Amino acid sequence: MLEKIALQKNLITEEQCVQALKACQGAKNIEMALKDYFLSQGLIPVPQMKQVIATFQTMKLMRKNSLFGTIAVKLGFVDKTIFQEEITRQKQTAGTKGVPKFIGEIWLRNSTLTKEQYLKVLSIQEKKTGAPSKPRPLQPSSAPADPETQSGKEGLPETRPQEKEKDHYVKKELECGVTLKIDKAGMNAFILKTDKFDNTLSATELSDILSDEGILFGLVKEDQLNGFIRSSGFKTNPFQIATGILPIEGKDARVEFYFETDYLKDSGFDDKGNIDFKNRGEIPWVEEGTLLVEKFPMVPAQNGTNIFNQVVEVPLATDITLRYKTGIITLEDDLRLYAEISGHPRLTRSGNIQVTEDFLVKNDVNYETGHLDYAGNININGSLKSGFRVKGDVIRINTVDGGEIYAEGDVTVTNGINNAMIFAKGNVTAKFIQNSKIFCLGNLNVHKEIVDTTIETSGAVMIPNGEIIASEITANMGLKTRHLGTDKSVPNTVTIGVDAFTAKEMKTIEKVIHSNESQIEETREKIKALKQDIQTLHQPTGRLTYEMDQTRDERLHLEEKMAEEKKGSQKADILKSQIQKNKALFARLDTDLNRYFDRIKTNETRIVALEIKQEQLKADIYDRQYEMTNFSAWQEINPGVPEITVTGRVTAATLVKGPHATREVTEPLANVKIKELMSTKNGEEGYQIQIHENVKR
Amino acid sequence: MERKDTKSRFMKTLSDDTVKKFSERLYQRKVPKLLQHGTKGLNPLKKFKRDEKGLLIVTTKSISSFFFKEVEKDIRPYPDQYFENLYTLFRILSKGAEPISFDCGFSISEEDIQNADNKKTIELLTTNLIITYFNNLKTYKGTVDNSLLKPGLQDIIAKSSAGRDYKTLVSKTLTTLISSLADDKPWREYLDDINNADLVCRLAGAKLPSMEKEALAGIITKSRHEIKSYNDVFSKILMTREQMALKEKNKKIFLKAMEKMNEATLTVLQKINTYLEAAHRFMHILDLPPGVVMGKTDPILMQNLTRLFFGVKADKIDKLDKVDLVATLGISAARYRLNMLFKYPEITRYCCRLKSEKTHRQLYFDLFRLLYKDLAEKLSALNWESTETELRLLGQQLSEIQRAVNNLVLEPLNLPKEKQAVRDAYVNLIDRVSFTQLNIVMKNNEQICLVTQDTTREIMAAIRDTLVKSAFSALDEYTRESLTADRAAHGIKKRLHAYARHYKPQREFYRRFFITYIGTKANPMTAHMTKLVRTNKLFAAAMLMVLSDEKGMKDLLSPDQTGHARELLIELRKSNNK
Repeated sequence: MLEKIALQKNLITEEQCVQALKACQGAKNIEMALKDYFLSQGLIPVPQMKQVIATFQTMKLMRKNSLFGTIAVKLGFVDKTIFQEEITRQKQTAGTKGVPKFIGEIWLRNSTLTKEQYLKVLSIQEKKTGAPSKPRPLQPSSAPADPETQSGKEGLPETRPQEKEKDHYVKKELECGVTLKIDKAGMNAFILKTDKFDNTLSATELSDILSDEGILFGLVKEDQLNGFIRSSGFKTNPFQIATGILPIEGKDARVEFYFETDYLKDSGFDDKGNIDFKNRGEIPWVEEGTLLVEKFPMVPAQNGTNIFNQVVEVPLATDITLRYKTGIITLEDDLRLYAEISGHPRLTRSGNIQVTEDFLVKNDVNYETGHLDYAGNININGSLKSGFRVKGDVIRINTVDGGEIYAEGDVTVTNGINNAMIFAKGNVTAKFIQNSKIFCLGNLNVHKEIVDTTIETSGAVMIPNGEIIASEITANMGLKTRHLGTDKSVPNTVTIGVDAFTAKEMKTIEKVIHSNESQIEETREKIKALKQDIQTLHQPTGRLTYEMDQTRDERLHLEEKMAEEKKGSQKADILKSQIQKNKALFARLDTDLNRYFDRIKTNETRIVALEIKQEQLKADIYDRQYEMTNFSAWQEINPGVPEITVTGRVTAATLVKGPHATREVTEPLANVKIKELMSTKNGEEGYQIQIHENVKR
Repeated sequence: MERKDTKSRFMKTLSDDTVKKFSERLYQRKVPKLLQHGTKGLNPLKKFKRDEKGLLIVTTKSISSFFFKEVEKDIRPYPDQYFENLYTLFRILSKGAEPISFDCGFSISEEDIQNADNKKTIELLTTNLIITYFNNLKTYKGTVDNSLLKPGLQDIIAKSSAGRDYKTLVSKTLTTLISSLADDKPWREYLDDINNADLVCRLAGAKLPSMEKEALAGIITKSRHEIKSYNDVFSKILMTREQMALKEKNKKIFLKAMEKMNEATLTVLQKINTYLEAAHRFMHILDLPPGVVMGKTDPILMQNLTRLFFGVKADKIDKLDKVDLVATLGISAARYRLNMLFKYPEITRYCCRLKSEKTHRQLYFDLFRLLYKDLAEKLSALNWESTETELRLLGQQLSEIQRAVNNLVLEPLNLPKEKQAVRDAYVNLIDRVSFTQLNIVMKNNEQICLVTQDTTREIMAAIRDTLVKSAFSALDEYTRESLTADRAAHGIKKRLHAYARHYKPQREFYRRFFITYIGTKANPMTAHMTKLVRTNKLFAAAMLMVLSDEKGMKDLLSPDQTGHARELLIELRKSNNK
C-alpha cells in the first residue's frame, strides 16, 4: 500500500514503483522494506516519507475502524447511526489532526461499549484479519531472575518450568449422607447434609470418614463435629470442617540508592547516536546528613500446611547486608545510611558505600573519566589531557598536559603545566609552565621556568630560582625571579602593580548581572503572556462543564425512563439509541474540556519552570553583587606593588610596565630591582620606572 | 492525629531552602578562601573576622534579624508554626557549624522584656532563645553540641528561661488579653490577641490558661453569625443554578446566566475562604471542633460545597451513597472543579474533612478513584507509537493528581487497588515504549511513587525487573534488522545502555541480564541465547563481542562473566568455521 500512496502523491514513477516492489520481494515486512528502499535510493526525501507513512497509518486504521464498527453493529452492540457518525467525524479530522484514534478504544472510553463487548468484537476482528493483539513481536519467555535470589541458585536451569499448582478441588457425596467440598488450594473443606444424612453417626465415625478422604489436618474439634451432627441445619449453608494454614510468601530484602551510583557510566548519546564520553555531568556531591541508601528488610517466608497434612512450600526470601566504610552514619536499625560528611558518595566495586571529602582520580583525566565537575576538592594522580576540563575547589594534580582547570581555590601541580589554561581563585603552584595561560587571584609559585606563557594575577609571581622566557606577565603584587629572559628568545613583557585579574573578573560579573537582568525581564514577559493565555483558555471551561452536567442529567433521566420500559420494545430501543448518543456527546465534551485543561496545565508548568528560573537568576545576581563588593574591597586592601626583583640577569628589550609608566630595558642587567616610583624631573612630578641595584642577595 | 497532619501541611512558612541559602551566605561558603584568609603578601578582607583559633566569627544578631525578616512575611503565624520555623532555622544552621565561632552577645534581661509591648516581647524572647541555642552549640574544633535541638524546642526554652522569673511578664500578658477580649470588636481581631498571648507564654516557658466561657461564647456567636450569612447566600446561588439548569431550555440564555452565576459563586467562595482562614486558626489555638465554631451552618456548608465541587444535585445530597461519581462526573469536569476548589486553600482544607465524615467518605474516595482510574487508562493508552508530546503530558497529569492527593490529604493506606493499578500500568508502559522513549517515561519515577503514595518505593523493584526484561525485548526486536557485525554491536551497546542507565547500580543490571539471558557456569547458555545462536549467529556474536569486551564492561560485569562471554564467542566462531 505504501508504494501506491507514493505513486498517488507523484513522488515516484510507475517504473520506480515496480523496481521497488521487485527489490523488496520476500521481505518479512514489505512496508518497512519499501520505506527503507525509497529512503536509501533517495527517491523520497524524509519529510515526504513521513507524510506517506502518516497517510498509510491513517488508511490502515480507517480500515481497522470500519471492520471493528461493522462487527459491533452486527452484534447489536452499537447503533448504526453512531457508527456512521463516528466514521464521518474521523474522516473529517483525519486530514487535520493526524492519525485518527481506534474506534474501539473511543467507544470503550465513552461507555458505548462495555469491556466484554469490546473484547468480543476485537477477538472476532482478529480472527478475520489474523492480526496479532500486541505490537511487540517477541517477549522473553521467562521473567528476569532476581540477582539476590539467583546468586545462590546458579546451578538451576534458567528456564525451569514453573511447578504447576495442584488442583485439590473435590465435590462429592459421601456414604454417610454428606457432600464434601474441598477448595482448589486444598486449604478448606466443607460439608453439607444431604437427605440421606445418617443421624446416628458419631463424631469419631465422621472424623474417620474424613480421614479416609485424606483430610488429616486442621479438623474442627469433636464437640463442634457433634454440634454439626445434632444440628437441624447445614442443608444449604456449608459447615467448615477443616482449615489448613496458608503459606506466607516471603519478600526479598531490597536496597534503594538515592545517589548517582554510576555517573561515569551515565553519559548519554548525541544526535548521531554516539556516546559522549566527555560530558558526564557533575560528579555527585552530597551534603552532610543526606540519606544515601535505604534497605527495605526481608519478609521471611513461612511454609503452610494443607488439610491433607502436606507442606505447602514457598520460596525462601533472601536478605542483604548493607556494607559501608568511611563517611557514613547509620541509624540504630541499620536500615538507612546517611552521609556523615559533605563530599563524594561512592559505591565501591566491593559493594561498600562511602563518602569522601575529596574526589580522587587515580589515573589521567581522559576519555575514561570525561570532564570533571565537582563541588569539592579534587586530587588527580595522573595528568590532565588535552581537550578535557577540570572544575572544582582546591585541585591537586600531577601534570597538566593540555586542557583547562577552573578552581575556586588553589591549584597545585606537582610537575609541569603544558599548553593549558588555568583559572584559580587561589594560588597556583607548579614546577614549570610552558605555552599556557594562567589567571589567578593569589600568587603564582613556580620552581624552574615559565616559557611562552601569559599570566595575569592579583598576587605576585614568584620564581626565585628559575627563569622567565618569552612571556607576558601581569602581576599586581610584583615579580621575583632569578633570570628575566634569555638572549636567544623573544623578550618578556612584565606589568607590575596592576590588578588585571580582578578588573577582568569584575567586568565579567557586571556583564553576567546585566545578562541576568535582561533574562529576568524576558522571563517576566513570557510569564505574563502565558498567564493571559491561561485566562483565555479558562473562558470556555465553565461552559463546557455546564454542558457536561446537563448531558449527564439528561442521561440519568433517560436511563430511569428506560428502566421502566420493556426490554426489546420499540420505545426501549429508541431510548437506548438516545442514551448512546448522549454518552457519545458526553465523551466528546469530556475530551474537549480535557484538551483545554491539558493546555492550561502545560502553561502552568511552563510558568512554574520560568518562575524557578527567575528566582535562580535573582539569587545569582545577589551572589554576584556580593562577589563584586568583595572584589572591590580586595582591590582596596591590596593595592599593587610595582616592583620586580631579579637576582640573576635581565635581558635587553625586556618591557616593564607600571600602573603609570613604561620602560624598555636597553642593556643587559644583573641583580636589580625595578620599581615604578614617583619622582621629579624638570620641576614636574611624575612616575618613572627606575632600576636599582639589588642590595639583598 | 489527622488534624495535626493537615495543620502542618498548611502552615510551614520558612522553607529549608531559604535557610540553606542564608546559611551559605552566613558561613561564607561561596567566598574564595583567599579573600577570607589572605596569603603571603595579600591581605584578607576585613569583614571576615576570625577568632584566636582562626574560626570565622558569626554574630547571632545576624541570625535573629534574618529570622524576624522571614517570619514577618507571614502576617499572623501560629505559635506552632513559629516554633517549627525556629526549629528549621536551628536544624539547618547547626549543619556545617563546625568551623564557625558564634558571637552571641548577652541575653536580654527580664525587665527589658516585660516593659515591651507584645510584638517586641516576642522578638526579645526569641532573641534570647537564639542566643541560648548558639551559645550551647558554640564550637571548638571537632565538636558541635546540638543536644538542645528537638522539635517543639522545649529544652532550649527551658535552658533560656532557667533562673529567670517571667511571672510578671505572663501575668501582664494575660491581663492585657482579658481586657482586650472585653472590648467589642470584630471576632477575628480577638484571634491576634490570643495568638500573641499564647506565643509570649510559650516562649517564656508557660502555658496560656484556658479561656473564660463567657469570652469564648461571645466570639463563637459572632463567628457563627458571619458564616451563616455567607452560607445563606451560597445556598441561594446553588439553588438558582440548579433551577436554571432544569428550567432554562434556551442554551444561550442558560450559559449566559450561568456565567453570571459563576461570578456570584466566586465572590461568596472568597468570603467563605477568608472566614475559614480565621475559623481554622481559632479552632487550632483553642482546640475546638468545627461544629462549635460554626454551629449549625457547618453541615449545611459541607453539603453546599459537596454540591458545588462534586457536582451532586440537591435531590441526591441526602443519598450520597447512591451517587456514582466515577461513572457520572467525567474526568474533565472533576478537573474543572478541583481547579476551582484549589484556588481557595482554606475551603480545600475544610473539604479534607469529607474523608472522615461517614456520609461523605464514599464521595471523597470516589473522586480519587476517578482520578486514578483515568490515570491508569491514560498510561495504558500510551505505547511505542505515542509522540514525545503525549509522553511528556504524563508528567503534567501526574503533578495534577499529586496536587489533589496533597491538598485533600489522601492517606497512603487508602485505595490500594486503584494505586496498584496505576503502578502496574506505569510498569507496563516502560515495557511498551521503545528504548529511545525511555528517558521521557522514566523521568516520572519519583512522581509515580508520590502520586500512588508508594512510601516503600516497591514499584522500583518492579521497574528494575521490567528494565532487564525490556532490554532483551528491544534486542530481540533489533535482531530483525539486517545489520553488519559492527553496526549490530554498536546498536546492542546503545540499547543495553539505554536500559541500564535507569538501573541503580548499573552493574546489577548487567549481571542480571547476563545470568538471565546469556548463561552461567552451571548453565553455559540460556534458552534465549541458544535460540539466538540458532537463528541469528551474526547477532549472537555481536552481543557476545560487546559483553566480552573487558574494557567496556569493566565495573559492569565480573571478570568471570566477561570470560564466559569470550568462551561462548570462541565456541560460536569455531562452529561457524566448521
